[in-house]
Amino acid sequence: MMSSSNRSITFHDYSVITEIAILAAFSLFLSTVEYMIPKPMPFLRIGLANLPIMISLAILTFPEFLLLVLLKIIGQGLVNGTLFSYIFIYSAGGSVSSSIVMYLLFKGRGRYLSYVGISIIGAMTSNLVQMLLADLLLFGTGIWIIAPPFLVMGFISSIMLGLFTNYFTDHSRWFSHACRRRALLKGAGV
Amino acid sequence: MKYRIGVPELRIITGLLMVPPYLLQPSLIVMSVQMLFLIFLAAAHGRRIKVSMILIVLFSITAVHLLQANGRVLFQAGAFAVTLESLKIGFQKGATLVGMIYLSQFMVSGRPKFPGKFGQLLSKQFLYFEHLVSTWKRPERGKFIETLDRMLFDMEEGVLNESERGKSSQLRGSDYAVQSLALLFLWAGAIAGYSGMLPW
Repeated sequence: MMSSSNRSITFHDYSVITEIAILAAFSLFLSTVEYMIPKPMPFLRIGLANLPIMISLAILTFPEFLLLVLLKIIGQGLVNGTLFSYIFIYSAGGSVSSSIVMYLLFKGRGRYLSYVGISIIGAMTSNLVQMLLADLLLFGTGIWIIAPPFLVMGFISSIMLGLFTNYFTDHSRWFSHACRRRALLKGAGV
Repeated sequence: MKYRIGVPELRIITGLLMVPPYLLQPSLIVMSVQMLFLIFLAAAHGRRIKVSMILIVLFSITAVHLLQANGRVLFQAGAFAVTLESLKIGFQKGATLVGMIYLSQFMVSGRPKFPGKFGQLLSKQFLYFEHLVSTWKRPERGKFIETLDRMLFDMEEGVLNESERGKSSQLRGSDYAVQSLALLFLWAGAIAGYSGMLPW
């Protein structure tokens, strides 16, 4: 017969893996939804696919969070067919760097930083790393000419994403359910 | 469970073997032919070709490189000089990017399965993703969050039957033949490029 602690571990592993897979699938799905939304300007994306990354800041531990980021990057690479191209390197560089920065900010944010602030800093980190990679790998220093409009568009879209994340975390029943479940698991010492 | 190679996995192996003759191609003419071949290959395996995307990538990367004058001046547009070396480097980098995008699309066209625990997690992600795409309905006005919530709860409550996952298709002799021919074409291009017979 399985001991209660073993049962807890099995339940925890199952729910965490399912939770990560759901969030990763949700991210892929939102990137598809965003593809269908008409854009006022080319390259102006809200970055809806980053919503699961933002909400998981409050749900997942750091290793789980990194696993989710990795799944998002590889999943998008597979769906868009960019897995073995330079675009994948840009995407991976931008996503990993911004995710680490956002996680650190979220954990040490206090009450002075909302999702909007975290989203802006994350987007700026991602855009700067992508520009740096573009400089090193493909475009050369000429790429910095487009840096100002690129960063301005990133700034605008990250505000929109941050506001949407604030709204989602305030109104989503699934999010509050996931947070409560985590608190219970933590309380149970799992 | 033992990991078996199917058609999608063979495409990944073939694609990886196509990377060196394409990335290291010294001739612009051969690279252009190889790029068109890779686009054809992706289209033949069901991927959608976006001509506008190809043109935008080629044009934008070439244009950025033209900002840095390099080599013989081809023509002058006001104070701006269009130089031969910048044009060649820009086009080569643009063609590299376009070719690699379509090579990637060819490689992942059969939704390959990856080995190990991470591979299983990735498969699970795609299972949920396909469920989301197939069950998505346009939300009513002002009910976007409720719609997303319902979808997330549905997945969590196990509405998915994981055994529905498709089986990897069996490899046949013709699969090996087609993939070998495609590979041969890319490597023949590499030999032609390195032979020095072509002007560019």
